[in-house]
Amino acid sequence: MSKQEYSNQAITEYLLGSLPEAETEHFDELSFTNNEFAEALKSAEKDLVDSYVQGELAGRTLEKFKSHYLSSTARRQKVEFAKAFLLFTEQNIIETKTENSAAQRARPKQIFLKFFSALNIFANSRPVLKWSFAVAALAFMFTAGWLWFANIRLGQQPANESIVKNDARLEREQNNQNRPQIPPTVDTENGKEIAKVTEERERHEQRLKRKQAPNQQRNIERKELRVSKQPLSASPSKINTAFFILLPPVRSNNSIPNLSIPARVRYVAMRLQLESDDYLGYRVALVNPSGDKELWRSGKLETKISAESKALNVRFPAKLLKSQIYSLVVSGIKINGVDEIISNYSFRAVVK
Amino acid sequence: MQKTEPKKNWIITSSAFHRLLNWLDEGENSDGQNYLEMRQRLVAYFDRKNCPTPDEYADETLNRVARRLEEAGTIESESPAKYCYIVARFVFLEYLRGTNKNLVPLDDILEQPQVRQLAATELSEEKEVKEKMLNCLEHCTGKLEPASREIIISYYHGAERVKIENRRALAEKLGVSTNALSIRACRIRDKLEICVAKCAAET
Repeated sequence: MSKQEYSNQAITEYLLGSLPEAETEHFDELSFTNNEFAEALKSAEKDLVDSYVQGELAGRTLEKFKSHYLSSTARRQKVEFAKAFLLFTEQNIIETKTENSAAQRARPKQIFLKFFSALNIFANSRPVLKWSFAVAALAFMFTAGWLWFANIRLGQQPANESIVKNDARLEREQNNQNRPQIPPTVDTENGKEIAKVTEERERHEQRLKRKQAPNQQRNIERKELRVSKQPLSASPSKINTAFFILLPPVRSNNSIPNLSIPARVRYVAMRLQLESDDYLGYRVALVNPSGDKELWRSGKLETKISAESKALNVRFPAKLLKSQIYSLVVSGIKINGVDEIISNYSFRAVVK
Repeated sequence: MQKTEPKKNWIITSSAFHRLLNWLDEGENSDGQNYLEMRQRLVAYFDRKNCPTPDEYADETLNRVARRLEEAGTIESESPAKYCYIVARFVFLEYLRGTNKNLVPLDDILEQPQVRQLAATELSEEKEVKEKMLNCLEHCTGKLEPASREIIISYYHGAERVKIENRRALAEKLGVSTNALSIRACRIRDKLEICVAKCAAET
């Protein structure tokens, strides 16, 4: 029998005693004779009970659940178990995520240890391999040494160039000195004029050299920067998560913040700043504009405390949001395990 | 098919029980798993019908099937599952006929002092029961294999769409269909529920 002969909705109606008699008898028989239906029935019942415990049932379905489903002691025990079980999964899902991230952090250490343990194979391998490894190591060391010397040689080049320049300058000066000098006595006024111009020229030349020297240094530095600052990756930037911070709502202020959410973003992360941290833990629910439907709910959260504030970090899929107003309802978990709504962070999502 | 009547003096023997097991197995030895599965389906059936003691009615049904097998040697008119359903239906109709004579208005029941006292007691013990259950869950999940533990925690975490997405991702991670994952998670949860009930009764 194919699954199309019964839907999840029909199974739910059956569990709530809402089906007509003929269909009920048909499903009664299927629960014995069809293994696939029997498994689907068990799974649907668990999901129905979980939905009730998590407050997802509403209207007629909730009424029928209370009046029909809870009329049996065995089924009430299932609900009690589900309450404890769902609380247990919430507590442990955080531990599981912490263990996974710890395992990820331990991975580089494991790779590091594996690398060094791999070196032990050379201790026990054949002599041919040992000698090959030794030769390879020597070749590597020789190459490294040659490259090091080459680097030192290249580093000394600017000093050599300056020596050449000095030589050139000395040559120029010598040439200047070899120029026939106008004796001052022949034409004193012209001589003074010439001396003044020469002096001025020398002053200008020195000033020019002083100006050029720092520019040359800057050019060298720019070249070095261009060499060292290679792009690390050429991949185009991808936006995975849009981040926002929401301040505690103020009663006197009715304005609702607008949050621009790019359409290509996968997640929306929010940091909800709290006025106080009085609870053992917190839960956050994303609620639709009319406030009657919960679109997303977090597990148990703990506050992140910094020097200036206490806050809760949440992250949920961006595709839950359309361009309209939403609320993030924050509940505190009391010592007796009961949730108490403490704050409501409204925002207007603008999906672009 | 002959109508099965209750025979109060008939007690199931070892050979009758083995004949019943073999008949339910339909030629393939399941080590009693088919019997346990059938009994579970019977209990669930009688519970859905709001019978006060579904375990007893399930056992009564299986007893009648075993007696019929003992008398007739074999039952070939229907498959074992369908035959068990038919007998269960008769047992349920008998229960209905029996209870119709003893119907009491619900308001009268609720006004009885012992019922009121029971309700008050239940409220005060609820917290204690929950605490006990959490401790037992810790103990019982500790006995699971790590893979099963991860499945059961991840499969039932979240609400509405988040839960659906989690399940899809988990099925993909494990390389199974969502249907297969649902069956696996269901069985692990059933096992946990039995373990927790036993643990809570012992503590």
